[in-house]
Amino acid sequence: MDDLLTEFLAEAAEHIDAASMELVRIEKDPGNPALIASLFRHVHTIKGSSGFLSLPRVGRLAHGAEALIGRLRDGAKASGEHISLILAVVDRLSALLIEIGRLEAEPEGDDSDILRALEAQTKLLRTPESPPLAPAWAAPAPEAEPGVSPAASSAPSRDAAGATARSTETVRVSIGVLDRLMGIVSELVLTRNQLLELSALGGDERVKGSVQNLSSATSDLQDAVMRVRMQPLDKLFSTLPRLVRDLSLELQKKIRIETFGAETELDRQVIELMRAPLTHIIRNAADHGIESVAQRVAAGKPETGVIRVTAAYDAGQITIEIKDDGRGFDVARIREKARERGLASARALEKMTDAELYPLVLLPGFSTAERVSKVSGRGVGMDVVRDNIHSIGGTVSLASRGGFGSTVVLRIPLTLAIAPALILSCGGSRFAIPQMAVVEVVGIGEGFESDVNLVYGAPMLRLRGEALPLACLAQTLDLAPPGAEEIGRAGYVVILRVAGMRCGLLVEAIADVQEVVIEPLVGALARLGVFSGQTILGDGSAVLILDPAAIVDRAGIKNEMEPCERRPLEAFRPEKAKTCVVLLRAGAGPLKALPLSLIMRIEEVDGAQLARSGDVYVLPYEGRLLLVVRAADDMTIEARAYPILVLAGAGQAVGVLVDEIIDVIEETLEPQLAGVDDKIVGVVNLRGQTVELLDMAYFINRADPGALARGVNQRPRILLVDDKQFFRDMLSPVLHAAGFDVTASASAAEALALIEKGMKIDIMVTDIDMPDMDGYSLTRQLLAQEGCANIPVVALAPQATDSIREAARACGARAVVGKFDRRALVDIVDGFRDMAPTAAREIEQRVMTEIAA
Amino acid sequence: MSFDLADFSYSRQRPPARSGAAASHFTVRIKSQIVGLPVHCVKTVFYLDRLTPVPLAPPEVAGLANLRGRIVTALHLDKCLRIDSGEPSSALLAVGITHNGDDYALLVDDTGDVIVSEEQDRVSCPAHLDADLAELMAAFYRHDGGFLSIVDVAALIKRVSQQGESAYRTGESGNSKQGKRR
Repeated sequence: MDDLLTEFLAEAAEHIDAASMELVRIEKDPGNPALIASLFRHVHTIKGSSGFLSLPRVGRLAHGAEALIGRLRDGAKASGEHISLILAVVDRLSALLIEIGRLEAEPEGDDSDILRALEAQTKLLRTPESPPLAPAWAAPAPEAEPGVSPAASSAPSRDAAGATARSTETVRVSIGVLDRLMGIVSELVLTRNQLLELSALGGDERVKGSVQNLSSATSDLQDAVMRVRMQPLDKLFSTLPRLVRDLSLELQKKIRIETFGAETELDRQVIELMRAPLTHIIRNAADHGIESVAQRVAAGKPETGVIRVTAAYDAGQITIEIKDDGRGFDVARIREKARERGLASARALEKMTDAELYPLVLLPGFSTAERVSKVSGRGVGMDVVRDNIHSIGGTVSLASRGGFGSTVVLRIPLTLAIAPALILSCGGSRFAIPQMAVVEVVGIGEGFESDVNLVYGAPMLRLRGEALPLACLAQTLDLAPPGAEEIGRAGYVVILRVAGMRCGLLVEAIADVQEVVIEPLVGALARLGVFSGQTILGDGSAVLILDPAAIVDRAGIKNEMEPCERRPLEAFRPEKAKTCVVLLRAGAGPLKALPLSLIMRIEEVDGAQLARSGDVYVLPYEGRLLLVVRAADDMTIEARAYPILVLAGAGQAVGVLVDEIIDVIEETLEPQLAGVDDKIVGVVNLRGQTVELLDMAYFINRADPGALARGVNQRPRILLVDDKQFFRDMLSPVLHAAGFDVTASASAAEALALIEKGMKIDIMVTDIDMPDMDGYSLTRQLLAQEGCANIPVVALAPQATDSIREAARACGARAVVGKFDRRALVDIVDGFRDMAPTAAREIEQRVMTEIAA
Repeated sequence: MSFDLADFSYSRQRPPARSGAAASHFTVRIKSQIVGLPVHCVKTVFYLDRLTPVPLAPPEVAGLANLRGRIVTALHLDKCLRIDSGEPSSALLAVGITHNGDDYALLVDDTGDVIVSEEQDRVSCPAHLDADLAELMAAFYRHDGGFLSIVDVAALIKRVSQQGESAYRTGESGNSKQGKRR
């Protein structure tokens, strides 16, 4: 084709694209003089050039548009119809250019419809001040660009608003040349790798030096060529406003598009491949997602729906997220269609969570659109999108919130034909993994700091206080010999960053990082999913390149889909924790519930076994008597089996009698109303039912009124020393009932022997008059023992006379109590309970010391 | 139905005898069988010195190898054609073919001559041949008292590719998501 014509077509196409974008912007910002001026210039240039090349139709269309735009430039207000009309001209020109390119000449055709409309509008817009329109189009206007020359630089844009700023100095290069350049550089990189290997094996120093130089020059060349192929995503995003505008009009909805990350760069081929899928996804969002104005208002949403497209880098991949604030995926409809089309069995569909249902939309032949609209719903949509993305090595994920909107996330590899990769070995083979996805490498085993634990059977890596899920590469690839269970004995963990999540990959050894030329796998191997390509290493061996996301997925490490953390769209609300509760029936009235963690044991008892004592019951239980309280006052005890929930806390145990245990469920507990009954903490709504939450404290209090006030979970130990059985038997139960564990000794010697053996006691209560060693000596000896200096000692005497008190105090005892004064004894030991030395004391001391330091 | 001694088969119909159009095939031996490959498919014959195994691949895939700077995917031709006789072949003799822009290496035990067959020697599929296997064959020719099966390379590759897919797919959404383990 004629060189001039080719150049013209290419340049005109750019002007048309720019004009199109500007028109959409002008619609939003009608009075902007800079935009209008720029638009004028684009159209004007096309007009001028077309005259040069004898393309009358192009010329007439451009002229008509220019006239209308001229009115706008002179101050007339641009309405939606004007914009639509000019856009129509732009489209007509675009189609015309394509035909010209095909036929190498302008085709015959009639544009009078558009031209008449343009004229009419132009006349209407004529403002009083402006002179009548001069129909001089034959002569190219003086300020037209001088033709199109083969190596011309594109018009530098001095647009103040920078509407579509063009790069200042550019050169046009054909894509074929670029690809060839890329291919040659790939071969060069391979050869360089081989040379590096060979020179490392030994040889002339001068050769080594040259190879080094060659190597760095090759790297630089590679970088430069790669950059040539990269283009900002803006190229893709800039066409979206027009698309959304057209969709809005067509669907009679109000839709706005926002784009972020347009400066993110991607290989130009990939950008082209992305165009159709992105368009389709946005059409879908506009058609199915965003509701009509009326529906939105009814739902309390703003009239204008928003589609937000965001692009970002994420460890060797580009993430493009398309989020709309429409109605979200219709889960019920998806289930129905899937069942209809036989994509999954009815039973499987029942069990699937919403998140598992969304991917069904991507299967071929799926479409939930009721009517096949012109815009979307042809039933060939999302699966084609998936295949397109798939073919460039990317992934599609879907998420949705019913009523709030849906999100489609595309993850595309940067498709660096050459990329640095970490070489690792596992199971006797070597593999490469893209360096982009690798955060760090840690060693495990002897001499290394991190280690591997099993948490519920799954291996986790403990790294600097953080726990990361671990995948064993050998197991994931079925390379592990059967029976090899020792994960984490030794090796290396490659910490990967996959879709915003960090996790570890356990391998045997790591070698080095090499620049590798990535080649695609044959279909049979590409479908395995876990490998993203193949390459030849410097030593000539062929190795597979691992796909980090696929490996992690296959290993079973869940990746809950989350958009890349950027601007939080809503205030952060912490997850509500769920509690395991036992749901039970007790008496008439609502069901009751009690957190499972509070229940020590569940027993069953025959109603007849319960002995009544006041309004509580008593049950012989494990050698003691268990106090049993009915969970509801209106329960009647008959001679049948009843479940008893044994609660233990604050050193006490109590049984709660219920009629029936219904279920154990896991829910968030948020008591709505405070309980009216002492037994009830509050009323909660569990799965649609009103349930009363039992107050464990009430029951514990019934068993031992002081227990909770004391607030310790353990029973302190009292060493009771008295040579007379009578007193030991009388006082032990009293102290026991008061909440202490009691060890009774018949003599001072026995008591001391116990202490020496290592028994830990909190309080000692000792008789004074004892044969062999008396209470005073015992006290002195006890307090002299290591670690026992602070143990409170209570002396028991027939009466607490002054002389006894004095003697007792002299020996270190803290109190004297009459032997029969049980109440005083309990009061006093209660008082000492708080002073009882516990391990906590040491902690507090240490903390205070540290703070003071 | 007739039993024709000449071609040892219960052929349902005899192909009409046509003149001219000779076809050349490159013969290879796998275990005790001899099959032919269309000569235009066969680019090279070589010995592999290193084979990188591919984990999780279907059994027909032997691995990857480096042939003069290009990576070829090696396939066990015997496994592809279901010619098992127990012991795995240790042969690393390969026939290089290219299909749809991808380079493959078919592992064989031995190579033979190029055989030119006349169109009139062409027969339809022998009845005793397994239907599955018959799909992988492009044509059959009478040869030297027996018959020569010509491998349909495209069908072979397609079969291997499908194996990979069915073993793996449970309705995922892209290159790297798999199954219900989400």
